[in-house]
Amino acid sequence: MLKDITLGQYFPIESPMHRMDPRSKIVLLIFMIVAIFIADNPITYALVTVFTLLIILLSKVPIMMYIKGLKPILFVIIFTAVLNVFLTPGTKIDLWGYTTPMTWEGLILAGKMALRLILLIIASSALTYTTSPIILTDGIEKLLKPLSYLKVPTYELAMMMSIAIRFIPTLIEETEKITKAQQARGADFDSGSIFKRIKALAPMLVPLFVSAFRRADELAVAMESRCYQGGEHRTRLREIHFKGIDLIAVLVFVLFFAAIIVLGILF
Amino acid sequence: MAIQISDLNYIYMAGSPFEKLALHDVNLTINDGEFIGIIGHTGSGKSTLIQHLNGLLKPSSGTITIGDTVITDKKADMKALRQKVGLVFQYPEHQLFEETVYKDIAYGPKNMGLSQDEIDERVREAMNYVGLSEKYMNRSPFELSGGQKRRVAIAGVLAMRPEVLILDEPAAGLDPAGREEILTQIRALYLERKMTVLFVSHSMEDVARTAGRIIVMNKGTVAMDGKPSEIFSRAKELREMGLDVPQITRLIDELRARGVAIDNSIYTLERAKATLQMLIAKKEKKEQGDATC
Amino acid sequence: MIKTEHLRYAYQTDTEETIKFVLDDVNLTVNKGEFVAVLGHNGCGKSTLAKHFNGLLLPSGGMVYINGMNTKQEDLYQEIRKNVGMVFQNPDNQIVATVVEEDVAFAPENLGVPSDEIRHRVDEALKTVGMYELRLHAPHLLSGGQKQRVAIAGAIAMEPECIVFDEPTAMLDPKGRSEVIETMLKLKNEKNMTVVLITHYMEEAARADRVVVMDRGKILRDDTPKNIFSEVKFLKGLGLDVPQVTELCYLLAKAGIPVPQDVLTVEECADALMQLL
Repeated sequence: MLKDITLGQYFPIESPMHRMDPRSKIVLLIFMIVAIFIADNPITYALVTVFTLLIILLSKVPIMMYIKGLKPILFVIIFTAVLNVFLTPGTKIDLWGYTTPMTWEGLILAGKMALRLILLIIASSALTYTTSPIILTDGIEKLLKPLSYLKVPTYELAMMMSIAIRFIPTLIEETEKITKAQQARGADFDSGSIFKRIKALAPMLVPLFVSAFRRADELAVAMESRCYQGGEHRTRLREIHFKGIDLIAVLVFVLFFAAIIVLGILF
Repeated sequence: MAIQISDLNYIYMAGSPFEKLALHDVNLTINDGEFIGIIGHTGSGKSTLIQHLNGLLKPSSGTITIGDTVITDKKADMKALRQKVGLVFQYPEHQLFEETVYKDIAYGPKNMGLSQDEIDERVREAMNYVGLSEKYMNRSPFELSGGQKRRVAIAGVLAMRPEVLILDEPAAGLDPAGREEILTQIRALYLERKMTVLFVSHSMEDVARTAGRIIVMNKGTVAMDGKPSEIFSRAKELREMGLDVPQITRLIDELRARGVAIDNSIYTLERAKATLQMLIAKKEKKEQGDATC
Repeated sequence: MIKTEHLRYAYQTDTEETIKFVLDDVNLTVNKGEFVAVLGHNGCGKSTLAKHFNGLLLPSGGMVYINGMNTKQEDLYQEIRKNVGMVFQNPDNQIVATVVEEDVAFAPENLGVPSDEIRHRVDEALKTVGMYELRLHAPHLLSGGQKQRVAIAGAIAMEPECIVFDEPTAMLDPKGRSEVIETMLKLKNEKNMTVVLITHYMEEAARADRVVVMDRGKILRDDTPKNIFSEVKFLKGLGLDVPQVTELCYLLAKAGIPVPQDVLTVEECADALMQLL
């Protein structure tokens, strides 16, 4: 169940994508998302799809991992697709002599939307699979650096984010444990009215909060014991550098992006 | 209540890349009123096994019968089952949530739909079993000490008056005095209520002190099953499974290795003392006899 | 290395008016390279004492010196923490990062150590605790004993002279427990580190050079394990255990059989009994 969510999980191997500077990966991902949305004809669609496949190859992460990452949003994809097929005005589709409420325009739109969503998830997963959360937050922190001149505590924000990511699996495990323990005491989480169900969640949420606070307390003490004193003067195990590989990636990407725009205008 | 487990298999996260055969070919008969210790190292399958006994996990194949109910049957009434089989998880104090000790203990009985009077009676009875005085009734469980919290949590399960009581590492993290107290209370409860008790632990010494029968789990299946004296006489195998045997067992083994003829089924301090005393006295007598000749 | 003089610590609870002394006139010296175990039941003040050793808590009365530095001196607190590493009970709640080696790097990063040097320290620390092979793993997938070894590596990477272990095995299974104890002994024997172990497990305390017994905030005994554990009745009175073989010899002696009272291990006990059998 909850353990199946893979988005946001780092895949510790060596690959060209892993070696890249997180800043370039984040910025390129943003432009990739833009590219996915401006693609609007078969040629540009083909191009973004091929480019996404290239990303999968370069990340060296097994394609199964990407497919697994799609599972949680499969419902959303199917749901929007169905809505599109039925609700888009246009030529009705005839099947075995019957006129169905589905339209050809809807079918095409549904296909486009599904493809966009899938590419979007894959591209985002590629970032999180190839970048450990700490490096990712490092990258975000560096990108947000200009904000720190406006007295925004960018370092602390980044640290909070990485600790949150660190504790997600622990808290998921804890939730499962507490749920089971309360079920063993006769708790019923899935029947009754909405109001009743919300009330039934208290035995699960209260212990979860209590434990989260306890963990936070202990973690703070452990961090202090390891000389944590905020962001100043901090160094890193892996300093992030804009390297040759990043330059190549950016150049290739600029070409790709230009191609999307040009092909979009031409066709 | 008797428990019958036949050909139980459980595959963890079936169909995913993390698929793992967590339990295989588990066959066990547990008689009504037995006090059983289940030991095994982390990952041996002992926790997975006990979660099957009150339906929190569904077996991939095999059947489990508790009393007259086949609980692995799709139509089995899980709610009724969980009232009969009480399960106390590891670190149960982490599941406390109510404002007062009383309300927390009453949570189980309340879910059973009992009358207010009945609930009240059961809460008081359960507190009494775990040795919590009534003055704690209106205190917040979060203000209590670690050992007291644990007793509140155990009382919460006892208040459902289960016929089978399963405890997963009830003494984990407690100091020797706290351990002793919990174990003594469980033992007393067992004698008084005549329930079937399954007690999971990785401390051989605790199991040796309390259980009448020991089941050793290893690699997802039952590796040994018998009286404590039988189990501890196989100390070498136990240690190969990564289990700690009581120091007394190791001492007896060491003495046997050095040529002393001593019974290898001794595992308690009292019996070791009595036996050694006897052996030493015999030896002295013999020496005296030799001297007079 | 560590020295406390008339250390007192009190805290006031919200509900009660009275001031409770958690530590009461504690005088303790831990020498460089020594392995000292502090033994006592839950709530005897031993964890509070441990938190004084790196300035997490400051004395209400008396002084604590770390290598001659007073923990009350504010400008020295970072220097003191660098000298005294800490490992706590719950392995989950002291790991900050999502990758083993990045967690170990946390302390040197905070200290502003240059990247190359951090790399070197992290690799060394992971090799010392035998976790180098798993350096790229996610900590939440490790066993309890492995997580605790990562936490130890995290402390070693600060290059402290001393590590204080606050009930590091309380939540572990026997295998994890022995992994942690072996690692601790290795630090003491091979790296010449000072080790302070706070515990209520007597088997662990028996491996130390010195055992300090605490009860109600006071130090009651400070002696070698052999001398401490020969006082079976005294320890039992405090709600503590003694090794089974020690208790066996105690019981035999009480029955009039001449066996020594200071045996700690199975081998010693067998040796003593063989004299009589």
